[in-house]
Amino acid sequence: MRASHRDKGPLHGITVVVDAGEELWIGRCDEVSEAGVHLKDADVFREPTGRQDYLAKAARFGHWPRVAQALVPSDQVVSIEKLDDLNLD
Amino acid sequence: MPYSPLLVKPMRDELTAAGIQELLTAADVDQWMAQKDGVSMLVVNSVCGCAAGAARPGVRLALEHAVKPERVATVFAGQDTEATARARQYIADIPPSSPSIALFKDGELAYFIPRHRIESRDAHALADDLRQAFERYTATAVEA
Repeated sequence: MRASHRDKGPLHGITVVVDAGEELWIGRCDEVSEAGVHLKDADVFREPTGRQDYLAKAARFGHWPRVAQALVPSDQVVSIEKLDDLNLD
Repeated sequence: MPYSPLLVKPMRDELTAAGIQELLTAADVDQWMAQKDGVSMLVVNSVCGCAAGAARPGVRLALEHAVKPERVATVFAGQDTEATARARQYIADIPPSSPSIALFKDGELAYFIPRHRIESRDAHALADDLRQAFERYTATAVEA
């Protein structure tokens, strides 16, 4: 039994990493719209160092869902990638 | 807020029909976790179709393998909230996600598959991951 919401785009329900410059967001993508990337159960990393370690831990065990909902504005989005696709070598 | 029991019943049945023990209360979880010998697997079930729709058949496929955990149980996130919260206390260092799958060896967490490693895989790929983990952590073969 599998329900889905394909009308929300291919990243709906997928855990993504959004590089927003000084902020790095990880969360479950709800949808990508003109306004930006809508995330649920998200976390944000704002430290000047340690980004790779943070990503490595998240890739292995998941991220802490500290923010119920977030919108990363389009003009801040540098890249968006599935957490499971990250190449951390 | 939990979904209707009628809606989630098929999602529960998909696992229990494969012989997976359902843990409905914190006491159920404590009792299950108290038995530490050997390899056991805990499946955090979920309504989410994006990931759980692959998780349940993936788990079922993996359990058809000759080498598998001696004990397998499930809690249902968002439904059996007390049981799920208690189960997460046993892996408190791991961020909560559902669906997810934890493999314990002699009571210690040995292997964990978080949600993001399920949501972009199909059931067969997840089953392959689980079978490899079963072979790594389970010393003795169990008849399928």
